[in-house]
This record gives sequence, C-alpha cells and structure tokens, in this order.
Amino acid sequence: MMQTAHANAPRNASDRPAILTVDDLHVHFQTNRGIVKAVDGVSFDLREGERFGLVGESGSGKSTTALSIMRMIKPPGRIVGGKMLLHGKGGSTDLAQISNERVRELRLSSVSLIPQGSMNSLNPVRRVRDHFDDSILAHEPKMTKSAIRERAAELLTMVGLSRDVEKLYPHELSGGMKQRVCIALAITLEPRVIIADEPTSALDVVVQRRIMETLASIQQKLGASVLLVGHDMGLLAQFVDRLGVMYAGKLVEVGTIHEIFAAPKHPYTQMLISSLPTLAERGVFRGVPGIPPSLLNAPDGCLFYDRCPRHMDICRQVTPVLADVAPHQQAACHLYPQSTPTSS
Amino acid sequence: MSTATQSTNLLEMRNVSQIFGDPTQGGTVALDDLTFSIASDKPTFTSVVGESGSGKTTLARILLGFQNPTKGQVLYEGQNLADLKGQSLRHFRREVQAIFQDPFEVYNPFYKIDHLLDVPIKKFKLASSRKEARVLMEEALSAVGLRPDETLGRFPHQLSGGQRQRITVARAMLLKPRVIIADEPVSMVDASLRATILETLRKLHEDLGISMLYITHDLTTAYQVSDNILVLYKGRVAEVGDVVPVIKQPTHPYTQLLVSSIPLPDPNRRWGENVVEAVVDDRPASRVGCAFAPRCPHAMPICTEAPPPLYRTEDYRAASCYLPATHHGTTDAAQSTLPVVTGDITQTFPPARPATTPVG
Repeated sequence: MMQTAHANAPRNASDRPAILTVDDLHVHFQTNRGIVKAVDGVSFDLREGERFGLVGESGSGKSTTALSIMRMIKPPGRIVGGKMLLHGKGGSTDLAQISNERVRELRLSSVSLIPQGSMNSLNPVRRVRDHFDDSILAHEPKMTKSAIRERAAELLTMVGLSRDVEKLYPHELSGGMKQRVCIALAITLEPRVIIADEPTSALDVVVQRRIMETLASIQQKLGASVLLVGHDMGLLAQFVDRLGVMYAGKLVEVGTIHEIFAAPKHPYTQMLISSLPTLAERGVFRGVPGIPPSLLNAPDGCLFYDRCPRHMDICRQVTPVLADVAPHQQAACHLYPQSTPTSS
Repeated sequence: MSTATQSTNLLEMRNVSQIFGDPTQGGTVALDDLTFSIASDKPTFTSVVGESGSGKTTLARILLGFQNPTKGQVLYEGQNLADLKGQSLRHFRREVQAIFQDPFEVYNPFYKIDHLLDVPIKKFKLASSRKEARVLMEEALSAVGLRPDETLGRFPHQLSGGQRQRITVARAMLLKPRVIIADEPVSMVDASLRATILETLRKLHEDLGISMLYITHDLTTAYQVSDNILVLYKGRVAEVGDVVPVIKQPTHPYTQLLVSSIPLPDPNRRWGENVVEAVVDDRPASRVGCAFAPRCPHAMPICTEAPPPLYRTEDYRAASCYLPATHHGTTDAAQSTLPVVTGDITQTFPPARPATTPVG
C-alpha cells in the first residue's frame, strides 16, 4: 500500500528523480503510560531541486519526521521501522540503517538542518566565525584558516549579511540575522537536501519574507532540495512545489501546492485551508474545531474521526490508506473508495 | 494633578516616551511622544501592529503599569497610574487584564487549572462559597469554548497550546474587566486554532462590552478582529485609523510593506507583488527625519530633514508621511493643506460600531 503513495511521477518538477525516499517510516516514543506513535507509516519522495512542504498542527509528527531524516531522534523516541533512502550516484544509502559515524559524515555535507528557533541553536559564548570553523573542520580537517574565512565570508554574503558578522556573538544579532547565520551554516558544505523546520516561526512578517526569499535563492543557486516543515499554510503556499499534510502521525494528503489549494481532498486539508484568515472578509472566524487526538494507544480507524464533519461508520473501524484520488494527488480518506483497503 | 473630573477616558497615555539605555548617548527610543486613549463610554477593539522593535510591547507594558515611562504619564480614570495605591491599584488590576504571548510559560506547572482560576476569585473575593467559585469557573471556561469537566482538575501540560491560551482568556474575563490588553495572544498557537481564540476575544468584546487592545505583527488577524488599527514604526505612529481602509489601501509605505509581506494562502499570487523592497533595517532610527526614510522607496529630501507630522488623509485615518501631503495640491510637502492630527490619535478612529454587529 505504501508504494501507491508516491507511485506516479507527474508534473514539471516531478519528472525529476527522487533524491530522498522516505518509505513507511515509524517513530515511537516509549512513555510509562504506553507507546506514542508519533510517526506512523509516513512515505513520500523528495525530488531533485524540489521544495516539499510538510504541514500539520503541533503533535502531528511533522518535525519528528524531519528530525528522523537527520537521525536526531533522541530517547525515549526511536525509529522503529521504515527506510529513508538518500539516493546518489553510487546507489542509495538508508539513513535509518547506517552507523552514527556515517551519519555524522553525511550531516551538513549531504543533508543539513535549519533548526526551529535559531535563537537557541547558536552557542552563546562563541563568535559566529567559530561556528563556521567547527562545521567546516569537522568535515574538511585539512582546510586552512584563511580558506575557511574566505568561505565563511562568501556564505554570509550569500544570505545577505555583511562579512563582519563573523566577529559577532549570537546575542549581538537580531532574530532575523541569527536565522540567516543558521542558513549560512546549513549550506556551508553545499548539501543536496536542506531540511528547514519552521525556520521563521518566531519572526515577524517582513523578516519572514526576507528569510524565505534568501532560502529560495540559495536553493536555486545550489540546486538543492528543500523539505520545509511548518504550520502556516500561507507561508507554504508561497514557497513549496508540493505539500504533504500530516495529521496524528500520518500523511493524510499529498499533492502539488496548486492542486491542494484548488481542490483539497481530505476534510482536514479542506478545514485547514478554509480556516486561513484572509483579507477578503472581516469578522469571520473558521477554525478547525476540536483538539488533536492522543497518540497514546491510538484506536483503529481514522484518527480525524472526532473532528470530521463528514465522518461515516467505516471511519471508526478501518484505517484509510493514502491512495491516488486525482491525477497528482493522494489522500487517505474513506470518502474516496480507493482509500479503503480491500483486505482489512 | 487632579484631572479626574474632565477625563472621559478609561485609560490613556499622554505624550508618553520610553527611552531605554543612556539618554545622553541617544539611547533606544522605544516609544516617541505617543498620546493614545481607551474610551470609557463605549467599548473599542483596536489593533497595534508593527515589527519587532516597533514599540508595541512597550506600549502594552506601559498601559499595564509594568513600567513607568521615561516621559509623559498614564492615566487610569483620570488618575496617574504611578500614584495608584491600595484599593485603587487593586481596582485597576482588576479592570485592566492582560493576555500574553506564550501560553506555555505563564503557568506554574505544579498547579492544576482550578488553582489558577481560584486565585483571582479569592484575591478579589468574587465568590462567597466553594460552590459559587466553582460555578464562576465553569461559566468562564464555557464562555471561551472549553468544557469545564474536561479542563478542571487537569495540569497545564495536559492541555494543548490553544486550550491553555483560552484559559488565560477565561481567567481574564472572570474578573469582568473593562479592558483586555492582549500581546501577541495567538502567535504561539497553531494556525488552525488561532481563529477560535480570536473569535472568543471578539465575542467578549461584543457580548460583555470589554475594550480590546490586540497587539500583533499579523495584519490579517488584525484586520479580521479589530475596528481600529495603530501601525507603529520604531516607536512612532506610521498610520492610524479605521482598519478597513488602512489595510485595504495603505497610505504609509511602511504599512504597504507590512501588507505586502503577508504570505497569501494562495499559490497563484506571488508574495510581495508590491514594489516595496523587504529591506530589514536593524539600525537605531534616525531621530532627525522620518524613521522609515532609510528603507522607503519613495524617500524625498524633506524626509530626512524633519519627521513628518500625522496628516489626516481622510475622515477616519491619518499617516505620518509626506507622500499624501505632496499629492494634495502642492509639490512642496511643507506647504500642504492637509490637516495635521495633534494630541490623542484615537480621534482618527471612526465612531464605535454598534455592539450588535453580527459576527460569524
């Protein structure tokens, strides 16, 4: 069933081969009250040069998915199943299987992360330049100091900062500047995959737009693929090519951004889009009523059941699977017969 | 200092300036000579918008009495806030409530929700028995759309961010305040839950006649909930007035920049179609001319010479910008015939809409 999730390769950017294939990923957190299935069978492709978004509310598993690809899940969390294939010229590497040593080599050089809350990800007692030294020397120990300085200056210019920023400490930078330093660090070794986990969630609109423009131009320059994780549909609409909608640890809809906005298929996606405030009307509030389900010992069936305006009896009993519901769009909802597994 | 008789304002700030750091070195001007009021006769819903460092949180802190301004004074029912003591201070603390940004940090994790709601009930003696207190709590929780049986008896960590933020709203309304000052109440809450919180604020405003001051950097939500808007830039008023024309046809280039930076939830419309470049300026504002001039695509020589006055461009709006002035019959802004707003900027707000405006 998981193959259907990304079986067809439609659309312009989608003719390109996948650079990363996440296949049936399961991440569990062991708690003293039971197992929390934070990511429960997530599959998607990230294609070369593509911008793919993962959207969902807190606890939907979007950040856990992103951090799994970085192999940054810490106990009590554990990747318990699935593959994360990084495709390259010499074949594919399964990020779920390789040694910690190998993970360290690939981080930054092949896959890098722009973390959520850049405020806390720089070392407060070290200057910006020390962060570049650490990052570069860990991968290229023979690089000379002057070459590192040159490279760091180049990177800072690329993200729209002055090279003098090198000399500063993190507390001397504004939030937007810190986030740009984090982007510069993430692209130091020209990775092929950039994972951005809510990179602008703490910043105001103008700075947010600048950061996203910076990320877009860097991505184009490097030809890298970007996985953008967020909960702001407006921001994602402006940035990504394709979008995956997560709910309670599962992908419930995947499609190109245009298709999803033009014709959302899953009721959750429909509610997410109609809940967006617009400048078209005043005083109209549409949220997604209800609260996300607990993922602790989650029941069978569709976990959106309680909040779904269109739920049916079958939704309680059978878990819908992600299936093609339109040419370039998949959804996991019993409203579409394809989503109902034949043998259950 | 007895202004009590002539004042009809519930809460007002007169010529308030706030300077951080050493004033002899210039300091950082967080608010620059702002006069603003919240009327006592009719409830208002006003948004204060601006980017980080525009002074919007400083404005909230000063109005809440957390901070004494460097210059000017804050009056509550005509009395200087700094002079309030004992009974009158308690009265102020009850009538003016605050909601803060982070619903994860405002709670003591060791106390249940019951305790959190019980403290104000005891402190202000709102109930004479345990039973009555319980009824009050249940009413407040229901008013913000929470089920009391699912909320009471729980710890904060057992609730979602949206629920926690609604509990702060419930706690505020328990006291039947006349003003709620909400500083970025939804920026830490999931996008899908924002609408419910804003709807609650709007309902409290309409049903209970509570005046709201909604502080945000999000223009879309400001447009949705409020009637009036105040756009701050580096401590000064950039634009002010009726929220509809200000956001639909912004006059000030800074408001234009803010509006064009809203990420539109529509992949067919490009972000920032507007001409204004999203330049970020981290330097302290020039105090000589217009603070926005270094970033402004329309800057003229006069903009760096003297700060523009607040021109009343239409009945219910005003902007601190020479641009509309020069378009108004003269090429020399100094010769402009546009009226200038002095004193309380709320005079640019339209008359309060009837409380029966249908919502939703």
